[in-house]
This record gives sequence, C-alpha cells and structure tokens, in this order.
Amino acid sequence: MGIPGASSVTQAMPDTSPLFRDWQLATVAAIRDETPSVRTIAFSLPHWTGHLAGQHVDVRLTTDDGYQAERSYSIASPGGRVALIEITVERISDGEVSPFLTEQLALGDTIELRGPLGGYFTWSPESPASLMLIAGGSGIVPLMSMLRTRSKAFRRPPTRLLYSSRNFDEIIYRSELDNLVAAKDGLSIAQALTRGAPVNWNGETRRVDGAMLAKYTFPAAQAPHNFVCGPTSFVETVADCLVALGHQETVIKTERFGPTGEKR
Amino acid sequence: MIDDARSSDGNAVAGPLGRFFAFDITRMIVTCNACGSESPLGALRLYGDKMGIVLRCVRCGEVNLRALEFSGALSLDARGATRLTFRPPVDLP
Repeated sequence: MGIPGASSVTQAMPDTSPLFRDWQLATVAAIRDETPSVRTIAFSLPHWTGHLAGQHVDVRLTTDDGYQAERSYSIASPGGRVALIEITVERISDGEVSPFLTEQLALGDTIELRGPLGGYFTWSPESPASLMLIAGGSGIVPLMSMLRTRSKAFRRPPTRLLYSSRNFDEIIYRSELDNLVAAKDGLSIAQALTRGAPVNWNGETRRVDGAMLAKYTFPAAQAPHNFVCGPTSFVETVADCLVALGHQETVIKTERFGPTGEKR
Repeated sequence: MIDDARSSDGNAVAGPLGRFFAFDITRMIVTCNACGSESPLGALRLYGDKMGIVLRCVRCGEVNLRALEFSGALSLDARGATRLTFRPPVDLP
C-alpha cells in the first residue's frame, strides 16, 4: 500500500504526518449536484499530503452560540496527491450537518476539516487481488474513490461493483459509472433498484441477498478483496452472506453508517 | 444527533481518538474478552459520540472499549478486550 506518485517505495501511510490530526480551514472550490438529494463538494486545503482510496475526513461545524457538530465523510477523489478533495453528501432532511452542507454551503465558504483519516477501509492499486465492491446508497462514495484510483493506475486488477439504490434517479455517479465500464478494462458493474425501476431497466430489482451475491461476486477460491459500504443493516447482511459463501473475514472490509440497527 | 447519516463503526474514531496515538488505531486488532473473536478496531460497532465512545464486538456485542475525553485527557477502558495487537504496515508483494 503506497501512495501513487509518492517518491518512497516503502509503505507510506499518510498518517505519518502530524497534519492529519489538526483541523484546517477548507475552502469550497466547486459544487456539483449528483442526484436531487446528493451533492459533491470540492475543497481546497492549505495542507494535503495525499490519501488512500477509502479514507475519510471529519467535518466540524460550529454554530454562533458555540455548539459544535462533527461528521465523517468519505473522500470521493482518487487516492494519491490531488489538488482538490471531494466529498459527496446525501441530504438527510432532519440531520444536523448534511442539510447545511448540501443546501447552504456556497462557493468560497470555509469549514473546518480534518484528515485524511482511517487506514482500515482502504485500497491501493498495488494490491494484486481481485477487487469486489458492494455498495448500498451513498455507500458508493469510498468505493468510487477506489474505482477512480483504479482507472488512473497502471495495473488494474479484475474488479466488480454491485451497487444497490432505491430508484433510478437516486443512482449516484450514474454516467461516470457507465463511462468506467465503457473503458473495458476489466471492470464490470451490476446494479439493483429496490423501490421500482424504469421499464427498460436490465439490472436487478430487489434488495441485495445471498443469491445475488453468489451471482455477481468473485468466488471465494480466488481470494478477492471485498469492500462493503452502506447502511448498517445492509453491510451486516452482505458481510454475513459473504462469510456464508466461503470468504475469510480478513478479506471482507466494512464501513457502516446510520444509526446502528437502523432498518431501511 | 443520531438522525444524520453518520458512520456507525470504528472507522469513525480515527479522527477523535487518533490524535492521541502515534499510529492508525483503526487497523489495530482487538481480541474480544467474551467470545475471543479478533477484529480490526475500524470494524467494531460504534455507539455514543465524540465525548464518550463505546465500541462493541461485531460478533457477540461485548463492550470491548470505552473511551471518554474530558478536559483534553483521554481515558480508555479496555477491560472488554483481552488483547490489542498492532502490526506495522507491511509492503505487499
């Protein structure tokens, strides 16, 4: 695991720098709507030494009376050294932070940000194992960072994405995913819609289950690396099914969000 | 607080707790004192918020770690973990 483009050939986790521990002022450099309820925000930062695909940042908001709220958001940008750091945020209507980020934050505004953080849920293109990515909803974000990293890399392992969304309009990065598949470089994508699909939809139309995972994942005998990200119940269901399909727990990496035990 | 789309596992403590450690604690292997299963800290179930953090075993629900931050000091109660194992990152073949 190293940072593409870094001069050192040895392990170079970004967290060797003290900078990642400190809050810094991030300036909004670009805003892009992905779906009606999901927005990508690109920040320029005074200090960024590079990151690994799958890492996240903490965002801190402070109200006028001093109350602070912190949230973690996955980095959507490809790993390595990039000029702008993007996060993709889903608006939760009764949330504390996401409505501000998706509705009020404007170009040139600044917020406090800390990162890159977390070395567990990360992937580097130096890993030769086949790559299996399984996303529910906005769980696609860190996996998109991995796909973007892969598409820039010299060596691209066989990769599959299984991506579940509620409906067609809520598919995040829809056209970019189509473009990645069109490159025909060993990436295949299967999608599921759980709450209704267009008439010409040729993907799956139910929640991800054991049969669907058996159909689209790499066989356990190939020892792929599996990354699963989404709501808590989604991730735990998928992880249990992967174990049942014979995958070792050590090659199943998970990232869960939402209240523990939430059903959706 | 709990209504936002926030992380609900140990990955999220990399920022709030990580600043007390010289290494990335989300990669640290936690051995559950109740069921013996081994899991990276990043995969444990997270309860609480940045003031008081509880990390539970994914398999049996045992409270493995409690962390309390107060007046700039970190207090870590690890009686639910038999062992904490940290292996430095290794180069892949």
